[in-house]
Amino acid sequence: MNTLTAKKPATSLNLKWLKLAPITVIVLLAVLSPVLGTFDPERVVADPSLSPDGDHFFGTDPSGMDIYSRVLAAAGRNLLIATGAVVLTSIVALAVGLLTGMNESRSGIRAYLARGASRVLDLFDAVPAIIVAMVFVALYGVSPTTLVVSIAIIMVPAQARLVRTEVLRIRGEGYVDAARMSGEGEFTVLVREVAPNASWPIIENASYVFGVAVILTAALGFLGIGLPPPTPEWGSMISRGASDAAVGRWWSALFPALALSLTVGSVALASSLIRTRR
Amino acid sequence: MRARRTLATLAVAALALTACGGSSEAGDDGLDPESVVIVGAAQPATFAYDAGGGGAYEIIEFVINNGATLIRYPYVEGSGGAMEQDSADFEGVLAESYDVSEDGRTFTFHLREGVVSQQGNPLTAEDVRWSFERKFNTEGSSTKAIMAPGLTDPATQIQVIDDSTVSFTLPEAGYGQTFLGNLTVLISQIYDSTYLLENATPEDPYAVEWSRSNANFGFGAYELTEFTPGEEMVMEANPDYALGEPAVKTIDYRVSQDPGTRANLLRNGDVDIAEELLPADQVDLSDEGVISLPDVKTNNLNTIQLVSNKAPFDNQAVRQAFTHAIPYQQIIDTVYRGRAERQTGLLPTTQPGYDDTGLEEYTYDPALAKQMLTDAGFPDGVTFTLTVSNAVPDLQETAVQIQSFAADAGFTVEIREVPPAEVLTGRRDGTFEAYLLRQQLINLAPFYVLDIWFKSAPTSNVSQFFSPEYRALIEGGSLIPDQYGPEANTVWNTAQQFLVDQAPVVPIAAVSPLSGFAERMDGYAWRTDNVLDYSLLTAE
Repeated sequence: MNTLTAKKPATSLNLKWLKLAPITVIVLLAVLSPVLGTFDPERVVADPSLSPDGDHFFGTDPSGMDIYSRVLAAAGRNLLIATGAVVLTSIVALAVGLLTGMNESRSGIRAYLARGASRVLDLFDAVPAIIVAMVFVALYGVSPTTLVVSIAIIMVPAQARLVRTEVLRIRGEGYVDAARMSGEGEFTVLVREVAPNASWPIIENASYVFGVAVILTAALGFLGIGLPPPTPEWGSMISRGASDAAVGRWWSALFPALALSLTVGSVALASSLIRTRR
Repeated sequence: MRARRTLATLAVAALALTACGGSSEAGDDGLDPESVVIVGAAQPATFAYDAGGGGAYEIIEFVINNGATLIRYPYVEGSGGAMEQDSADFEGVLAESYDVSEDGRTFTFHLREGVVSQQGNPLTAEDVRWSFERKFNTEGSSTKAIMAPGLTDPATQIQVIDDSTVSFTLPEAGYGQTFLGNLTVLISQIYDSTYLLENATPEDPYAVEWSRSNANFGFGAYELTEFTPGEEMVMEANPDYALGEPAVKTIDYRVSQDPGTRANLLRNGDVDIAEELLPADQVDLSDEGVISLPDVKTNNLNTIQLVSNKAPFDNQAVRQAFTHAIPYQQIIDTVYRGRAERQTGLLPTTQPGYDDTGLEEYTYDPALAKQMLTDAGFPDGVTFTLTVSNAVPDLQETAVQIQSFAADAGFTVEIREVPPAEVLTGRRDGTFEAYLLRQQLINLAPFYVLDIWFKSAPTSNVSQFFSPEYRALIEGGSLIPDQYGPEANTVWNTAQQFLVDQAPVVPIAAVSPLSGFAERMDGYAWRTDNVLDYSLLTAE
């Protein structure tokens, strides 16, 4: 058999797309949670701490709320916060990365500002993420918006640094010089030539930001400073269920913990596909 | 050589066996009846309770076992089988007896002979005088507010008669019951003034700062001998304790923040007593036959404080409507698994001559609540924030029940869980709209109970309810010499009816003790401060 001319089987390509299946299923479950949920996720609907059965698939929590309905409802909320964080982080990181990358080796006030911005990014990066989030939430209160903003503050430095590094490489490329020589203004060069080519790293890294956002939201909930109870949220559900698990009522914490693990794992799987395709 | 090695091996084996065998005092199961292991949620953050010690369980428990008061409420057999304190009577601890003058205003205490502090200094009347001088001159102390109006100026009201006699003179005879009740409370502990003055400095003349982190400056039943922050502390019985050396000589107090873990330690036999358990875990362990639970009615009262100087609860009709939006029985059944009791007023129903005429229990009636809201001009309902401490799991659960069931009554409840430090500042600054509070009033004298939550001090008056009519009523009652007589009980009944109607504070339920005891333990007694008196414990 001539291996040089052998074609890759068609099924190989299709199997690669299967990496998207888990996260697709999770997103679908989150979107359909109002339909798939069997009880109001924020109301006491039964006796407390019932073990899983035909009425309550995942049992009930210590308050008597249906864990299955709450895990589904929490999926929508956690994924929405993570998506918001990814979008905000990407926009801000792209802007900051472009401005610092294009200006910091020049002279004048813009260069000083760019270099100053770089040092501010370093400063933010030096503080542990969870501390930044806790301080922000303490100052501005807890809501989905403040969670999105606090996660963005945490993630922007790393993302902006990726863009800046890419800009430093691109700005000396021939096609950028050619665009300038053809009369394009600096802003047009930035938007049409540099930005599209420098944004790849943050798109690749978006899945990482998404995963971190899901974990951070849950971590704040676990620490008791997340969304107010009884808002369905995986971290606070795990936190409230942990004490139950210690005395044998395992279901309160297990199902939200599984949901969190599967979501983060699914995002990691999907991101490997994006990296492979580049 | 070989024989010598064999002998050495046998000797080591014999030593090991001896060590495994424990002391000669050990019971049949190898457990030492003179040593008890307790697991609690935290260690005391300070040893100086009179310097803003707060109301945390672990602080109160440590302080009442490490220090002592002149008198206490006596322990009597309770209706549920457990011993409990009789809040209408008093017995001596550091004082052997006390006399009351004919006009009922002067109380003369005769101190026990031969009582020495944990540092070996004898108890004197000067210790009593100096202790109150310190409490009244310590910044952050609640003593002044609590002792008023009976004791307001120790310098003129306390007189040292001789080394073992000291008197207190009150402005009114009617204040006597409340005053004596206050003397049973931990803010009235007597300190070893000789020892504290040895550690005083010009900047810290009463050694307040020093005593925040140094224990054993009193005359208590136990002395702190080891303290490992965040992990463990060991207390040894004081052989010179005024009421005799306790039966349990060593208390090994360990810390585990998680209530489930504490329950598991008790289930596995790793500890003898677990404190601050979740009621669900208590009931499960009891059903398994692992532990015994004390059955006693307490004053550990869960309330909702409706802050009456800001919307929406500045409207009496809204407050009244909300009393019908709370699922009282659901909370007792679900959160407390039946280990709590409804309470209508603030006073204990067991007090002598208690009069419950006209005191109607609040009921959960969402349709009525909705109608009352509509009549009050809120047809679309009312939204408010309910604040709760994130350090009290059963209160957090209670908040969730209220949020869920009050929705049917037209109340949208937003729960805000805050750390204990924020609770203190919120109470002080009056920033809450409604606050879920569990508090036991240690002094159960009627005037004290009806007064303390409605004083001018915002820290205790969480509901910010100031009513001249109410104050005139209870202050009139405070002057009646017999505080449990028919005349006084009529006043207390009128005051309670006034509170039920105004509804600034809504009692939900009195919670049963949250501790669990291994079968080998005995000697539990309910105290009005709801903590454990180690000196009464016995172990098999």
